Amino acid sequence: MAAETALQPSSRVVSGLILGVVGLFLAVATGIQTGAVDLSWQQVWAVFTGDSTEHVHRVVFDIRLPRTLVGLLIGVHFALSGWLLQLLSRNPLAEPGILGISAGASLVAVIAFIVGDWVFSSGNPYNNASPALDYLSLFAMTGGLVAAVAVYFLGLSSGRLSPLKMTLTGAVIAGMLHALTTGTLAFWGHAHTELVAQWLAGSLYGAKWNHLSSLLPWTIIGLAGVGLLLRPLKVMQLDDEHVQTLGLPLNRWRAFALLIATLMAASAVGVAGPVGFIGLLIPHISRKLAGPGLSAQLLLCVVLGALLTVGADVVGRTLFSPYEVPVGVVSAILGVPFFLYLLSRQS
Amino acid sequence: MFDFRNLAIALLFALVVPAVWASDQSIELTDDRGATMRLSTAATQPAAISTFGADVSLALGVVPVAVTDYGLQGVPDYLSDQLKGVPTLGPRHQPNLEILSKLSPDLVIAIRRYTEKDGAHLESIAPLLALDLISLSDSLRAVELAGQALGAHEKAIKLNAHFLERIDELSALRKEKPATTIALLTSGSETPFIYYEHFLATALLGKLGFNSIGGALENPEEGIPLGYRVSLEALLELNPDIILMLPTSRQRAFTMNPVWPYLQAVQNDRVFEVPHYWKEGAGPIARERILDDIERLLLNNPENSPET
Amino acid sequence: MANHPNVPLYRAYGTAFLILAVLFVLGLMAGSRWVSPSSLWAVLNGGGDILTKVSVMELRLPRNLLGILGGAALGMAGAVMQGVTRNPLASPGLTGVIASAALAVVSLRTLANPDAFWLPLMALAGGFLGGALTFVISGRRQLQPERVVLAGIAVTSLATAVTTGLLLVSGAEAAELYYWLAGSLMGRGWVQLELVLPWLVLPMAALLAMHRPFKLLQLDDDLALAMGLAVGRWRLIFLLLALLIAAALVAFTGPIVFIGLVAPHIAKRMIGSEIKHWLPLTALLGALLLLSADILARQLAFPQELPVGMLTALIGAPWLIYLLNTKTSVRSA
Repeated sequence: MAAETALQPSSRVVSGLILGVVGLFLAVATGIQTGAVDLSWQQVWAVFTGDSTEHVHRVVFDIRLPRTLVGLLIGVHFALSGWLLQLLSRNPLAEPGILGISAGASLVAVIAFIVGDWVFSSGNPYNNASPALDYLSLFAMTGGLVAAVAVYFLGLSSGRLSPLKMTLTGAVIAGMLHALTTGTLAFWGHAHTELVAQWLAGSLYGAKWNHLSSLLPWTIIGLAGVGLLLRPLKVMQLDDEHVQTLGLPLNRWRAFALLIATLMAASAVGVAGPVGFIGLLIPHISRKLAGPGLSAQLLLCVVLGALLTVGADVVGRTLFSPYEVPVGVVSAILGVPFFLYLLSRQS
Repeated sequence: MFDFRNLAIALLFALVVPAVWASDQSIELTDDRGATMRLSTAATQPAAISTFGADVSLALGVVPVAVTDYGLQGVPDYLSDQLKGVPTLGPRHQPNLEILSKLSPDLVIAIRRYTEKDGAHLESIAPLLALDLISLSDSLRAVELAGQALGAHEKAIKLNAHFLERIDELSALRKEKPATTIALLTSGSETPFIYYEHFLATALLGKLGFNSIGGALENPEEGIPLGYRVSLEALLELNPDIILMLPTSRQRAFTMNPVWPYLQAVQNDRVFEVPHYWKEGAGPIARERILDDIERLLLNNPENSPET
Repeated sequence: MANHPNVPLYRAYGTAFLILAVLFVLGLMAGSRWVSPSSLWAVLNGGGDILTKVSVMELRLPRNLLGILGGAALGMAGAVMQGVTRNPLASPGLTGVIASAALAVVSLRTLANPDAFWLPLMALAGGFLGGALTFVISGRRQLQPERVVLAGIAVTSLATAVTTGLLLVSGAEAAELYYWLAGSLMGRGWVQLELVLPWLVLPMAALLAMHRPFKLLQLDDDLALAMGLAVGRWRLIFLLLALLIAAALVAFTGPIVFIGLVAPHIAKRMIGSEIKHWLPLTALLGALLLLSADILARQLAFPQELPVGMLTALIGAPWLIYLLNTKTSVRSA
C-alpha cells in the first residue's frame, strides 16, 4: 500500500503550487499579449491603467482577455473531468467523450444552428434573429447532460455501476448521436456548414465575458466537488474488497464523481464545443509527473490543463493569421505524438 | 404666465429643431436581425464580411477597408482587381476580430447567418448591418440598406431600378418563346445538389422564362435550406431542357454515372458551367454579371429554345 | 451460458433469404417514382419505357446490390473481429477502423484530386493504421473488451477531430464532404459497384472458405495451438481481411456504423452453437439490415433522401442497448 504523503504540506507541493500559479499567470499574460495584431507591453499595460486607444482596449479587454480566461477554465474542466473518469474506470484511456457528452452537445448545437432560424422566425421575414444562438451554450450543455444521464441509467447493471456496460453503452450512444449529427448537417446544413464545422472542431473564437460568467459557477462547483472527492477517491483506488470493509458507500461516491465529471465536461463543451484531447492527455501527463499522490495529480491537472488549452489557442490563432486553427484541432494534432508515445510503451 | 408660455414654446422649439436637424444627419437602419442601428453620418470605411459587402461597397464607389475571403482560394475572382491591397479578415464565418478592430471600420456589412453568433463582438467595433442574401428581394433590400448606410441611397435605388428594368427587358425578349426547364446544380459528388426557386440565381432564371425543376420551399421566406440533394432518378424524370452547373474543384462524379447521357440536356449539348459568383449573387456587380451570363449562354443562342 | 432456443438453421436461412429477396424487389420498385410490379417485370424482360428502364437497371439495381454486398461485408467484418479476438464488442466502428478509413478518404479528397481508383487503397491504409493503433494501445496481450472499446473510441475521436480540422480548410468542398461523411448509397451505380466488387467479394469468399481456422480461433489460444493452428498468424490474416472489406466499403459509401456490431449478435442468437454458420448468416443479416435501411432512407423523407448512416444508427443503437441489457454473454465478457 502506497503511503499517502501529499496531503501534508511539503516543500514539493508548495513549490509545485507556486510554479503552477506562476505558470498560469504567464499563460494569461501570453494570451493577452500575443495575437493577430502586434501589441507591445506598454500598450497592454496602458489598457489596465485606462490610458489606451479604443482599438487596443478592444483587443485586450473584449477579445483576448475573456478568450484566454475561458480557455483556462475549459482546460481545467476537461482535464479534471478526464482525470476523474480515468480514476473511476481505472482505465487510462477514459475521457469525457465516453459518456456521450460531446456527441449529445454536438447534436443539439447543430440543431440550434440550423433549426433555430425556422423555429423562432416571427412572421416578419426580416426579423430573423435566432434566439437559439443566444442560448447556444446552454442548449449544448443540456444536450451533453441528457446524453450522459442516458448513458448512466442505461449503463447501470442491476442498479450498480458497471464500467464495462457503461463504457459500451456510452460508445453506442455516442456513436448514434454522432451519426445523427453528421446526418442532420448533411441533410439540412448546406447553408451553415462552415459555421457548424467551426463549433464541432472545438473553438474559442468569439469567447466573451458572458461565456466566462456562465462557466465560472460550474468551475466552482466542480472544484468543490473534486475537493470533496479526494478522500473517497483514494479509498476507491483500493480494490473493492478492501473498500467494502472500510464501509464506504461506494456506489454513491462513484455516482457523485460521475456527476462532477459530467457537469464539468458538459459546461465546457457548451461553451467551446468538443475539445477532445485535453481530457485524455492531461491526466496521463499529470500522473506521470506527480506520481500516485492524488492531490498532486489534481493540482497538476488543473495547471497543465489550463496551460495546454491557452497554449494551443495562442498557437492556433497566431500561426496562420488572419486564419485561426481551432483549439480542438491543435490539441488533436498534439494527440498524435501522444498516441505514438502510448504505442511505444506497449511494445 | 405669459412668460411661461413663451418659454415653453421656445423650449419646444429648442428641442425639436436640433432633433430634426440631427435626424437629417443620422441614419437609422433596421437590418435583417431586426436590430436597429444608428449611424451619425454616412459610413465611408466599411468592412465587408461576405462577398456582398465588398461587391456593394465597390458598386457604390467605396473601397472597403477589409474583406473576407475563401482561404486558399483568396477573394472572389470577379472583384479581385478592385480589391488589390485590401487586407483580408479570413473566412466569413470566422473573421479575425483583432484585425478588424485595428482597421477601425465605421460600418460592417455582413452576411447574417454566419455572423449572427458573434454579433456582439462585431458591434463593439462598428455598427453591424447583418443581411440575408439569399433571394431576389433579399438582394434588392440589402443593396438599398447598404446604400443608405454608405450615404449613397439614391445611387443604390438607381442600381436596383436599373437591375429590375434590365430583367424586364430581357424577359420581354423571351416572351413569345415557350418556357424552358432548367436545373441549377452544384457539387462534385455522386448526387448533385439542386437549388430551390427562391434562390437568387434560380429566381432570375425564372423571371426570364427558365423554370427551375428544383421546386420551391414551402415557406420561401425562411430562406434556408437553399436546395436539396436531387437523386439522379428524379433528375431523369424531370428531365430539364438545360443544366447549369456551378464550379467544383473535382470531377463531378454524377456526370460519370451511366444515367447521365440519358438526360436530354446532355444529349442536346445544353449543359453549361457558370462562374462562382452565381452562388453568391446578391451584390450589384455579381447580379448584373449573372444576367450577362444568362444572356450570353441562354438568350443570345437561338438553339436554346426547344423546338416548338 | 446463453439460454436461447436453437432456431433450426434451415428456418433461419430460409427466412433471411426470403426477406432479403422481398426487400430486393421492393428496392427495385421504390425510389423517386414507384414502379409497379408489372412494369418491373417488363423492364427485367428487356422492355418497358426508357425512364423506368434506366431508373431500375442503371440506378436501383446496382444500388441494391451494393447495399446487399456492403451490408454483408460490414456484418462479416464485425463477426470476424468479434470471433478472432473473442471480444463481443469488436466491430469496424468501435475499433476506429471506419473513422480512420473515412479520414484517409477525406484527406485525399481535400488535398488532392484523386481518381476513384485510389479511394479504396487510401481507405485501406487509413483503416489499417486506425485498427492497428487501437489494438496496440489497448494492450496486445490481453485484448480485454473494455480496453479495446476505449482505445477504439480514442482513435475514433482522434480521427474525427483531424477530419473536422481538414474540413475547415476544404472551403467549398466542406458541404460535400460532410454529406459524404453521413454515409449514403445515393447515386452509387455500376461504376462504384464494379470498383468495390473485387475488394469485397474475394475477401468474403476467402473468409467463408477458412471456416475451420475461424472456428478454432474462437476457442482458447492454447487449445487452438494444441490443434496445430498457428494462432498469431491466422488471427492477423482474419483481422486484415475484416479490415479490408470494411475500409473498402467506406471508400465508396462513407462511414456506415453499427451493422458490424448488430448483425453478428443477432446471428449468434439464431445459430446457437453452430459456429460454422455464424459468418454466412451474419452476411445475410447484414445485407438485410443495410438494404432495409437504404429503402427507408429513400422513402422516409420523400422526395428527398436521408443519409443511410443516420438510419443504421437510429435502428442499430436502440437494438444494441436492448442487447446489452438482455444478453449475458456481452455483460460477462
